[in-house]
Amino acid sequence: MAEQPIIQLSNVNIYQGTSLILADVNVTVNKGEFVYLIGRTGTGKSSLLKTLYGDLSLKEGNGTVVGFDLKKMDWKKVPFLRRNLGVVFQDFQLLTDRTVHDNLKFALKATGWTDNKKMEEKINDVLDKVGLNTKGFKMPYELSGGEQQRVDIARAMLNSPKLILADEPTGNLDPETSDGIMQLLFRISREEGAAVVMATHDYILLQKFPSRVLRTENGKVTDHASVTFV
Amino acid sequence: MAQQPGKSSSKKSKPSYLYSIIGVALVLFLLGTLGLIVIHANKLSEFFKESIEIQVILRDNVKEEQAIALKDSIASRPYVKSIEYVSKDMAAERFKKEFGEDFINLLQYNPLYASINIKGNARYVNPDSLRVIEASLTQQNIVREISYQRGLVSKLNENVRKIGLVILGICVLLAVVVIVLIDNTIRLAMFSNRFLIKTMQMVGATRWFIAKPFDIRSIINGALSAFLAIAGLIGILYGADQLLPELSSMRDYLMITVLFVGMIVIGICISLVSTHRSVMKYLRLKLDDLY
Repeated sequence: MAEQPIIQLSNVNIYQGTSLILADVNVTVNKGEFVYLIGRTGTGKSSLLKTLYGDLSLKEGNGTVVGFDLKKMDWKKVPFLRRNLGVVFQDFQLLTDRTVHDNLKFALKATGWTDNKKMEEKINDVLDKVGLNTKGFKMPYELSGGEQQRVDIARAMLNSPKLILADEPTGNLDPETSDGIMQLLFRISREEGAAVVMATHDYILLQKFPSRVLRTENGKVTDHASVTFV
Repeated sequence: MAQQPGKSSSKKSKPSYLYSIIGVALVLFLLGTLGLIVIHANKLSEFFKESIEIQVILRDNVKEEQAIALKDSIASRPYVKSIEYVSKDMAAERFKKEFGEDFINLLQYNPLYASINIKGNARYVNPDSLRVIEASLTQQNIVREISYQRGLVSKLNENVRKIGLVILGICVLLAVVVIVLIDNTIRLAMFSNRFLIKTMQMVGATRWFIAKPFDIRSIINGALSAFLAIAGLIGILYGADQLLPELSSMRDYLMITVLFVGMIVIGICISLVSTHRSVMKYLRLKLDDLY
């Protein structure tokens, strides 16, 4: 493939404060790939994600994410890295004081959009994609958990990211709703060509929606084409 | 758009904004009062100096024509602001009015002396000049003695300065206390906005974009504080005019304008610096440190 990988980490050591969390991480994720990140709590899943979205700085090793050199990241560049990523949270992190529509509009303005008409088009576009085109006027607390997570995903898609980082996006949802969210994420990955890295605990999802798996364990990241469970 | 974070935070943290506005207004009010005192200090000491009366007490046997001649000759001297001749009878009359006792009937004679009362120009009302004036006046043989409150004269300038220093000290102390308090109040308001700030960061907003609405709000709050404090000071000036009508004649409007503008600048600065600092603090924090 001539195209540059979306994520490339080589010989990366990830620290939380001064303690080494993950050593010698070598990971490559290509365009449109769907990758699970699994591992027990405290094994470094979140630290790895944070390194990818610039909340933890890269001290040892080399890494690029959507064309940004993580070694050269500083607080001035982080916002521009994040505009090329979509981050989806377990707890949604929506702004509870405004409607779904305004949540999305706010994110657009925060990332430098100024044209009102284009913003409206984009908002309708992403709400349509997540199946919430009639709910733009609702306040977040008027929505179910699954719907809030869809809004969160819609927000992550606003800037047509090449990479979506999802930190346990189904952690707070019931199984049926989780399935819907998974289908949505897979569809985005397929249709938009966005790579998705999703941290999860939910092994049942892995069986239902098999894909490549990265496992954090004993301070290492191991790569599996796919996992089999007994 | 830029107002949105301000809007959401004003809903949750209106009281803390209100407290910080009032807090800044109070310290500005105190600083402004000090400023007014400093501005008025010179004029005030002039006012006090020119109200000090130098009594040239005349000998008992002096005729009225002699006294008036002396009065006229003194009146032409540069140090005289106002002068009047008080005869023995006038002195007795004033004494009677002041103390309500007709002592002349009691004593059968008037023990008071005639005098020439001088109010000096402020420039001459200092211990050294007064000593020279006193020396030249006592050479007149119809003059018995010169009487004025010597201690008062020498203390006047010094006291005005001392009072100013004390108030300055109090203001500095209060300013420190209030800045710390304001810092805490604003930090608390920001604390309730910390996830909003983080969410903005997660979607890729720059620090400048996030800080801007908070900074704008703080500039408005700082200016509001200054206007409150200025309103208070105008109230004080008005009240002072009612009590001491002389004060209004010696007002320096240019300096007062400079003072008010200075207060607005200081108010905006305190509010802005402290808000910006705490927003930046949350911007620099890692996501985990927020919980």
